[in-house]
Amino acid sequence: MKGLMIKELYLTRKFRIITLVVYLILAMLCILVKLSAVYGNIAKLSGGIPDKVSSWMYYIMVFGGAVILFASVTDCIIPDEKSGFRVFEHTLPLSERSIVGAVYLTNLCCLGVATVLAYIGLLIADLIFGREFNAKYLLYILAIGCVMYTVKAMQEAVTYLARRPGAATLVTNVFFTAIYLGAAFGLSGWMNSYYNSYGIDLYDMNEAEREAALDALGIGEGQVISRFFQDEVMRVVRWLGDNSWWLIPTALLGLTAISFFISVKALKRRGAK
Amino acid sequence: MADYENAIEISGLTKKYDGFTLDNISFNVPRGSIMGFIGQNGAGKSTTINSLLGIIRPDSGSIRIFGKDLKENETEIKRDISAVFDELPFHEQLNARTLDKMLRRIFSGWSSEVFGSYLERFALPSKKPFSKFSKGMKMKLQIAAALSHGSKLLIMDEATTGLDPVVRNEILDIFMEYLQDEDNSILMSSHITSDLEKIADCVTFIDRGRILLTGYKDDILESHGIMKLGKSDYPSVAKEDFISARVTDHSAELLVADRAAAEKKYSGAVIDTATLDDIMIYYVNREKKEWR
Repeated sequence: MKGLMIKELYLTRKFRIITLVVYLILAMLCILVKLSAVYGNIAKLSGGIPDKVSSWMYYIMVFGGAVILFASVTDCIIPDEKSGFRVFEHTLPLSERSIVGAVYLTNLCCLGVATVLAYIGLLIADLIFGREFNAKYLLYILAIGCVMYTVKAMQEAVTYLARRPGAATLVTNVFFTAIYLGAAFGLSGWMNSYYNSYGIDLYDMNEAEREAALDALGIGEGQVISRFFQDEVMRVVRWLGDNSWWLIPTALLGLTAISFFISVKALKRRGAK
Repeated sequence: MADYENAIEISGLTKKYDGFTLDNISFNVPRGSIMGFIGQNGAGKSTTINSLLGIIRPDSGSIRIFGKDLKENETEIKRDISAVFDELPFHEQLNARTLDKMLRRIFSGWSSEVFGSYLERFALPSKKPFSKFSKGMKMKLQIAAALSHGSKLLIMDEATTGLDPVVRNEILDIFMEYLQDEDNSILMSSHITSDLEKIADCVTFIDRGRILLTGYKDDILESHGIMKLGKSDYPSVAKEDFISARVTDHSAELLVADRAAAEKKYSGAVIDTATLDDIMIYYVNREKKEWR
């Protein structure tokens, strides 16, 4: 397994160097804009804009930078297919579990290194932007990394299943489109049921009827939408927030485990073809 | 290593694809021998080899390697097997040094010294990416990697195809050296029957998913012969006495499977030695019986 990890690290080294360079460029830009917000042209702007810009630059450097660093968690499943290494891999004294495990473990190592680098970036950003250290940000950065690791694991499972990069992209697109459509229809239905509490049916009433009904109640549509987000959506967000300590790790671990299982099965099934 | 008579024992191996079936094939590769696996394109050589290497799973049949069932002891068996393919199966960005680092951690018997000595012998650079290697260099690299972890069985799929005669000769010499160890065996599929004629101890012919012939090369070459006749004499030969016949305007050449019996029965006929190439061609045309 170690041998395959070495191969993974060697083949993806250029990509990791590029992401590191992109991260450094982003950090430099954020720092330059911050300097401009203190000493330069941005500092001359009024209405609290320099502070806002400075604050945005801080978040971009810390969290945007973390996203870039975690993008370095990659694999060479497709190059393995193209080079014929996948066939050679089957001749090695390694089980399918070890072959997939090598990819997942390499990603985990990269995730660890990227997390450390993102933490260093956070500390530097705190120093440069003159902010107090917020321990919660450590957790947020780690959460971003874990989410990206899990998404990568899911993509890997799809690639193992589909074999061809084009097919893998298609399956991924279909998957995320289904999620998007599900979320859109779900939100629409949810919103309609909230409107029902005001005696309005979004699907049956046209805009004029809706406005008339809301006028009779003495509220505007904007208020209803605002209340929907405040009462309903935020209730769910708060619930998620309160339960995130177990919900997020369980979801990520579960999805990663399922992806690993699918990857191993797909690799075994390919042997049967 | 436990005692075993045959390095490979294949029995009733079947694999069905749409349009092709590897049909219940059986043959053995005796320990310490080199087996030539011959057949035309699409005959089933690669399917058989891929089954042996665990790249594909057969539908039925059994494969025993070193006397052990492949299905039950796959990982253990694969420690002592090396595979060489017609194309380099490594990423083009890799170099020999990285390959050494990688395979050292995969094969417990890997020797960096042996690998280094092969690189030196083949004049292969260790830091140059494989993308800059020629076809011959790539093949030598595969062989260097295959022989550097003390494997007992070398399985090659069209490994010498596309190589010039000098490189092929060099590689055949390496195989002969490898076979100096009596425990080592080779299964080598190739179109180039002249190579096999030179080095193989045994030969297996496969055609359209079926084994036509398997056995010691010398026995096969000795038992087969090309009977040369005038066209007018050709009808006097019974159809069951030959595999197939190449008939021209003036003459006919027939492959006979039992040369001694044919010499006895057709005493006036000239029967020449058949080459592996002849045997393959005549067998492939056996259903037509008569061809030009």
